[in-house]
Amino acid sequence: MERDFYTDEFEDLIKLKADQFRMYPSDKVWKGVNRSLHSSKRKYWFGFALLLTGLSYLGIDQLIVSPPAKQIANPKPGNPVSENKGAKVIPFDQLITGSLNSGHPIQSSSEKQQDLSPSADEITKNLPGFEQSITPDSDVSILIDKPILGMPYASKQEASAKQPNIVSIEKSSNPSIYPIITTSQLDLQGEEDIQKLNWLQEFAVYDLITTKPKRLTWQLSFAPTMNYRRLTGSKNAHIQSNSRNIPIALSIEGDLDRLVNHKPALGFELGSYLLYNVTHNFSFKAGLQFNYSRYEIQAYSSGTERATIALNSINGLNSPSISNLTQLRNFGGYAVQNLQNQYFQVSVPLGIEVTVLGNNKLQLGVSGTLQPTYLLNRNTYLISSDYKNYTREPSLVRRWNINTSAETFVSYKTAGLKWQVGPQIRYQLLSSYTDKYPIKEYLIEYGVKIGVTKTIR
Amino acid sequence: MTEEAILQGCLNNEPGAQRELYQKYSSKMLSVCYRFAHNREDAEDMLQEGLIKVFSQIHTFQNKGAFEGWIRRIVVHTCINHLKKNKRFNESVDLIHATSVQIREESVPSIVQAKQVVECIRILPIGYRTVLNLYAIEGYSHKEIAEMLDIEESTSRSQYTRAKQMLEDILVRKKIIQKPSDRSGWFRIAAGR
Repeated sequence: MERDFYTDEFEDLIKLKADQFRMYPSDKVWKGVNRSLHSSKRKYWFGFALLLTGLSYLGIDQLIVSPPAKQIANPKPGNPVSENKGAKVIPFDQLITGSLNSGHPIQSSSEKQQDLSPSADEITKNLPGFEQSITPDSDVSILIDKPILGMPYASKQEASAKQPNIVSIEKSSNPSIYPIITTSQLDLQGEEDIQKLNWLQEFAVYDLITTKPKRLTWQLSFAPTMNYRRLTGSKNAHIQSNSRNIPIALSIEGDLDRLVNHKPALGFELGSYLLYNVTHNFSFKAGLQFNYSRYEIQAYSSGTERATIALNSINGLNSPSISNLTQLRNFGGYAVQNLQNQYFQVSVPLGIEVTVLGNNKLQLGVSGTLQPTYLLNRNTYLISSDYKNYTREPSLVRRWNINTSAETFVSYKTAGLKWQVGPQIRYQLLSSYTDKYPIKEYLIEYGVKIGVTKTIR
Repeated sequence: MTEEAILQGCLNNEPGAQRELYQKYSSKMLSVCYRFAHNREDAEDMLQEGLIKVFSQIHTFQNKGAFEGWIRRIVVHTCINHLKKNKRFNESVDLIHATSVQIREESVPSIVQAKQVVECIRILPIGYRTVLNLYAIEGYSHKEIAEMLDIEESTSRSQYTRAKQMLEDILVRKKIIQKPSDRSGWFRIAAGR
């Protein structure tokens, strides 16, 4: 009795002193709390908006708007420059001999002459003895030995032995078009010159450079997905043997999938990839992908209850558990609560894409990727070990995971773009939760992927 | 700002109200965490985790009891979960073997009054300390402690008895308290109570 009296007094003293004791947290605690409550969402949405903006910009830049340089490279039909892009002049001395030896007739025509005109300045650079004089705002003249004398082409051959030779290239009124050689001002000095110029007119064909195949392509895709999960755990509601000492509520027999009321829900996937074409039909693929996955949980409101989660022990001897207070029940309560398990993931898909069949326009392909994944944010409810309650325990949610994805698609090429559409499936290889949580959850996503691919030039 | 206003603001996810709640309770709750924690850093981690739970579960608070008590329960549970996740706690819980632990006198800090008592509690082995904190200071029953720590109720009782004995010894040796020589009771503390 006396001891009890002293004991109570001792306990009172301890409690009093403990309650009197004060400590003041450092700023980082509030920062951490505040960041968790607000900034993470802001950061996530900001990041997501930034990703979307970046992808949209790239999309518009690559797919819709052509830069000025490309406009020059792809002018309007009929512009002679368009046929000469990337052309090179065959050295005159080499080809003139060849063409003469081949016995090919040497002819001239003013129409064909115009075809040559786009790169006349290039041609003349290769002509020995030619001197070029170009002034920006006047006609461009090529002088051959003598001063300029304008003369109709019809009388050229007659006068060729006597008259000085002139090649004049009139600058086009359109500055974007190369100057055109006008035969009316052409004069020749000798037979050799005639041959040279006729060669220029007829046989200075351009040896078009065979462009190397563009191996790198850029792909942008979007896929609305239907998300669900596969749950595995103990076959009935009894907690695992290594957790049997946990004080839990009355167990409920049955398969876990039948004891919970979960429904699939709509999510989406957004991705940007680079493809390296190894062959015509085979490509390596890598990129950045964002996934929003979720599924619905039907729960019930209740009074405050303790939700105990039995943890798997590492050495099999101890059986730790985590207890949280919750007001969510899996079974009967006084009001229905619709919860959602949500996951915001970013991943780096690495894989291959194979064209199975088709022609240049229409193709059937398959693709598969392995995706190291990081969980940006989550809103998850875990079921207690007795399957009676739901509670949140972020520390049991896995941050890093690996997903795998497979898809098949039909693609159609048009106007430099490849559009593709087809079904895909994505499966999470590791559980959404850490190894400590005895129930395993594997996310599954089914969707229809729509993509557009552009060759990078 | 009244408690009702803070509560309502937190329910509306208003940063101002959340800050008010933090300023009002963080000091007291950090003291709670510190008694369970290994060091101040751990205590701040526990506090942060606990307050995040408080804010995220505030809609579940029903005005049946004191708001502070509700917060304190969440923080204490967070501390316990934090300790359980620590491998050292699970493997050497010392709930059974702690009687062999020797108290090193030099490790008792010479700080007076409340801090001195709290520091003496903190040098107890972690299992003793936890039971003593939960029973003597937080007011949980041995049955509740048994559930929280996954131990038998009888174990909780015996651990508490040993913890209290050890704490008494430390406090007496540090001359923070005096053992009763007569029936006038315990604890004549040099610096006063």
